[in-house]
Amino acid sequence: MHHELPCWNRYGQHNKFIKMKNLYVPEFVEIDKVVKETKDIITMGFRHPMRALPGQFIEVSLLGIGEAPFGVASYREGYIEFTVRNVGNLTRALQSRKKGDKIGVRGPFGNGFPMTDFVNNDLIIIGGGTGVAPVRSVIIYAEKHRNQFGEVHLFFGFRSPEEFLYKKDLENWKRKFQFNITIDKPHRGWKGNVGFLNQLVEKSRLNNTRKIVIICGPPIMIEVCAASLQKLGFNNDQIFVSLERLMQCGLGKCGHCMINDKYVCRDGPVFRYDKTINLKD
Amino acid sequence: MSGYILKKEDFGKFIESLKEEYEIFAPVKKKTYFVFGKVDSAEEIAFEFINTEYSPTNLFFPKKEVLFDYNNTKINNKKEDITRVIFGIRPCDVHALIIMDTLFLEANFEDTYYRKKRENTLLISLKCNSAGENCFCESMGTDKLERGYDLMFCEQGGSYVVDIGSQRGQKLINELFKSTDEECIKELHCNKKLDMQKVNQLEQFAEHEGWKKESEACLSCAACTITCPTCGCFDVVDVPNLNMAAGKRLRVNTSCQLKNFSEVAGGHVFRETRDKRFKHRIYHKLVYFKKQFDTFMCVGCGRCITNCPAGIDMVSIINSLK
Repeated sequence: MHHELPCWNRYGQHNKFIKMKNLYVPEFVEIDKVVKETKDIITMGFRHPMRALPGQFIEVSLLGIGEAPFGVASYREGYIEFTVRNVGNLTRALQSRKKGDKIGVRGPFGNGFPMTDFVNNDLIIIGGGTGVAPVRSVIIYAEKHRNQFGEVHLFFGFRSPEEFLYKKDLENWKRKFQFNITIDKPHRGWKGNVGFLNQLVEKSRLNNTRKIVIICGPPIMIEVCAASLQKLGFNNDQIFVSLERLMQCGLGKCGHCMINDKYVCRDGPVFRYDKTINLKD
Repeated sequence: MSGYILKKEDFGKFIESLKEEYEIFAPVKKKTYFVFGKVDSAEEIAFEFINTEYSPTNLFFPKKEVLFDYNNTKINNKKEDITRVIFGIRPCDVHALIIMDTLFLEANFEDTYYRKKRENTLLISLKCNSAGENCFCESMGTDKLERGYDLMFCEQGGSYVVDIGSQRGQKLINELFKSTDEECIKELHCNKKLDMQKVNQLEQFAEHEGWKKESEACLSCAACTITCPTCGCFDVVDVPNLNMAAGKRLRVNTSCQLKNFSEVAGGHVFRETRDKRFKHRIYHKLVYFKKQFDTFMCVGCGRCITNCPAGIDMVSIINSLK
């Protein structure tokens, strides 16, 4: 038998290292802006020609501290924004970085939401806490392609008014879309909705005709919201969710984001909800 | 097919001839077990092994590997070009590399580090004379090897019958080798047999209570994954110098058997209970990888069984699923 390995087939002789893109090496960019959202959450922006689709993620590095995945929170040519909550070493260190400082970036990774498949549907966009970050890119996409979609219903849940993200955007979206927001517990001076997101969704009495639902948030929130939608007559194949795992390489190699036969980094992070039902750890 | 024959007395000279161009890795004896190590002469090479404690696939995805050095934002990932020969790699471990090629060399997601090592390394496989007590390569179909090697050695009396597997292998053939029509066939018989019918039905057993029961003995020590020739999961870790400006980014082997493997920001662990981690390894090897790449991620080398301090035997667990 005289089989050769695919690697030698493709590049001919061995021993000649063919220069190719090393997918593990970050590229350095200058932070263009830092917005303080809440006491422990910031949003950073940088210029970069990468084209990120709504729902994709990037890997952000501070050399010496580490690297972690962040959902892209923007949809804009030549510009990327991402939101960071202070939960660990890297995210804490990022809080102190300022405009002009350098960060390493890789990506974008993942599939993103299949926005072109959603054309001519109403969009119901549900985001809880920092789960609002990835759906922000979807909302901006919908704003930019307003005539492609019907009604846009937004449902946001935060712990309290102090935890609200993207306050300027919220004001803007309030005017443009069907806007719903709730906080977990009563709060002084808050006259709006109190309670969990799924209750708000149920109260809306939306029907499932020509509608696509996008949910981002903690696993339990996705579960209860999907259950509420089912009560309203929605099918699981109308619902798209973005799953969270700690993607370390983004290339389907390191194994951390594996759920059954799916790599969240490559096959996801966006999954149609009916296809996640059997994705049990 | 005509092959070559190399007399055992010429083996030392053959190794010497390789040394001019290559670093040589081969099985060496360490007290009570065997591992692959760098050798300078044929005398250092052990032949009486069934298989090595650790897998030679570690030479392609090491337990610890520098991805790059950095100094502020300057990145250096240039590495020396070292050409190597691995002598004595068993057919099952060559199969392990063929399997890992599908993962690491996948189009668009190619792992540069793996590719470079793969391209710079020649494999001289050595057929097994007999099977070990935990070998079940016969069940996995990995006892036979038809591709993936550069040369294949097969011990026959006072000589080795050598089969050429690639053009690179052909170039290693020198005047020490004589052509021959002799064939060297070793029929291996493994006592351990994995019930492949059960393996193909594994998905139906996903919620089986047996996983909980069987995993009670598991210590989550990761001996199974660290010795497995197809376990390549890793953490990406930065090791800075004291001044913080310069340092290295490494990838370090990790294991799905460890609790923090599936931990995300904020501390949530997706596979928190031992039975979930226990099942994940077996299902990744025999179900998930098969779905992704249409091949099993197990070569039946039995290292996970041999090295388990709790005596957990994946084969008998699967065989007894009802």
